Amino acid sequence: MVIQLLVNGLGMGCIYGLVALGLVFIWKGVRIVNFAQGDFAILAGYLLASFYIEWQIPYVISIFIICIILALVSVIFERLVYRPLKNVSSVTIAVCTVGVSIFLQNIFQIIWGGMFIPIPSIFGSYLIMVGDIVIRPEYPLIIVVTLFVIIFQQYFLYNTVQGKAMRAVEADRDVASLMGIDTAKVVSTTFAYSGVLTALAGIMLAPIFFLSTASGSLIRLKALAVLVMAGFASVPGAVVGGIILGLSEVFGASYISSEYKEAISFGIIIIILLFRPSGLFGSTVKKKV
Amino acid sequence: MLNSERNRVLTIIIAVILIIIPLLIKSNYYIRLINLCGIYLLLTVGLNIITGYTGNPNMAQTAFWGIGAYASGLLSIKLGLPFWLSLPLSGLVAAMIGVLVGIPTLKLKVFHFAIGTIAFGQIIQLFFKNLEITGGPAGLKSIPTPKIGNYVFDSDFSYYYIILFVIFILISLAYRLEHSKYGRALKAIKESELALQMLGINVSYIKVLAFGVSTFYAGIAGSLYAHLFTYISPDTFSFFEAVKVLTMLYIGQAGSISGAIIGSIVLTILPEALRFSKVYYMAIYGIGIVIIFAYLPNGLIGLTRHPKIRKYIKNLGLR
Repeated sequence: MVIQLLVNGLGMGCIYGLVALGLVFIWKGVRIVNFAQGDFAILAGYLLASFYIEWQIPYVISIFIICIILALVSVIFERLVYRPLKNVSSVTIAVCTVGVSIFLQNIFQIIWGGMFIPIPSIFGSYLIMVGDIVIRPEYPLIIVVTLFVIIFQQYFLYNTVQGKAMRAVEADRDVASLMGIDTAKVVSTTFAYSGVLTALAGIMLAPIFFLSTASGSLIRLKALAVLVMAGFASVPGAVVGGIILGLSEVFGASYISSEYKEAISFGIIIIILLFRPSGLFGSTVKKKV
Repeated sequence: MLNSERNRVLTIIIAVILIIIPLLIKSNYYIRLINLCGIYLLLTVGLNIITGYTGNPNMAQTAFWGIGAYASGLLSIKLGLPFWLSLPLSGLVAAMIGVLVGIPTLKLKVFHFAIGTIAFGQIIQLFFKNLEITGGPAGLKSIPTPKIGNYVFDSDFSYYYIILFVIFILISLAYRLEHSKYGRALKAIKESELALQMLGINVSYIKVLAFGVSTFYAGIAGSLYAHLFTYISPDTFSFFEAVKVLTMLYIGQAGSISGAIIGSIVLTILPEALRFSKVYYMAIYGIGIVIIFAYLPNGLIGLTRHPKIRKYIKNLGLR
């Protein structure tokens, strides 16, 4: 029982972690929080429903197409929402991203209807059974995929020119631009990468989480809770925070009460903001004068 | 001299129009809309005090609205208090909770504050839905309508005057606040908090105070809402509504009372004009927010400073 919960919690946690990682990269790149990120994840899930189930496109190809679409959506979002508003206050941009979220939820409603869409698992009804432990094979898969993403990401950030440019822009945008880095291009890359992360999260989320037009708001709140735990800018913080949230939700739901499961993320937000506003691995970022 | 005389004439004309509005409108639906507009106006003017002046986006203004509504409803139903007492009391309850929320959160940076208020708003909504005293998901029913002596304000037409009266008082208060030393300090926070601290001003104290006043407005708006509809349910006080109020503020102009007024009026009337497109309504609304923010960074009030429009207004002789 405990092992089963542990695996489920880790799996959910990895998904939250991936969505939050997308937010972390956007934050590192341009210092805004995208309140529509949860809806991007849900968009990926809905696209999977259309491609894989309705149009019978093979699974791997669907995933590939969805990642590209989400990267494009994310870059378009950057061009149309972030860039024109770059010089306005960050609050304005935040409200605009909520506008995008409202827009997307309505579009989902129009295209896919207000119904829950069940997405069958790629493993069919196969379950991993060891002794009396029963585990849905999705959860271990999620953990493995997340591990691969993180390894790839570390390689990308530290060993490629693009990755180094991304880190330079994050450290100091003006200096990076003086060093001949095309900051606009790097910001676009950041958004595209964040879109791919969200796509993966949404695809893996779809079979284990009922999709509905409003579930984007739920994912947003969880991702925000993780973002706060990560202190907005810490990559390991996002992963660890996601796992903490996933585990506390699964264990909380089974040992305390499943009705207040959603309250856990809000509780985490409040507690972290009260006691550790700089995040779990808080390196306190001093406000610049 | 001439200018102030013209302003006086304008004020009188506006006052007369506001007073005779219920006599001109025959439809129950439109007068309800106007009353609702007044309630949103209070929410937005209140939000302006914290978000407009200091730039800290309160994404839970509707949670305080809900607190005011439930407080007022419960005070009237359970304790039998008259409306005239529960109205200010509900404002005070909301303000008290506002101060408690504000003390820890206003120390944080802008986005931390925004996320903190989102979490607070959702928790409050969960409480409304799950507590026994608030009536659960079904909400609170049969909230009494206000009365003076034997006269009962049971129609939207008479209720309009209560709202108008409250708005008049609270807006005058907001103007006085804006031009007081506190108002000036608040506006300076957006520019540089550090400089303000250097001048020996207790910034966190002023911010918490402003948050208290801001949530007081929300509480009053909640009380007005509860006694107008005589029925409240948790779904009304959602995150979406909070964003709507924020949008009202930014569409008018953040940091100006007239901006808050114009924004709330425009955003209550505009959706009515969009009703023809029931299905696409929210999509238009969402994308509308983005377009308006991108092209009118200073809101509708900022638009009046555009040279061409300014010239046009000058020709009209209004300024």
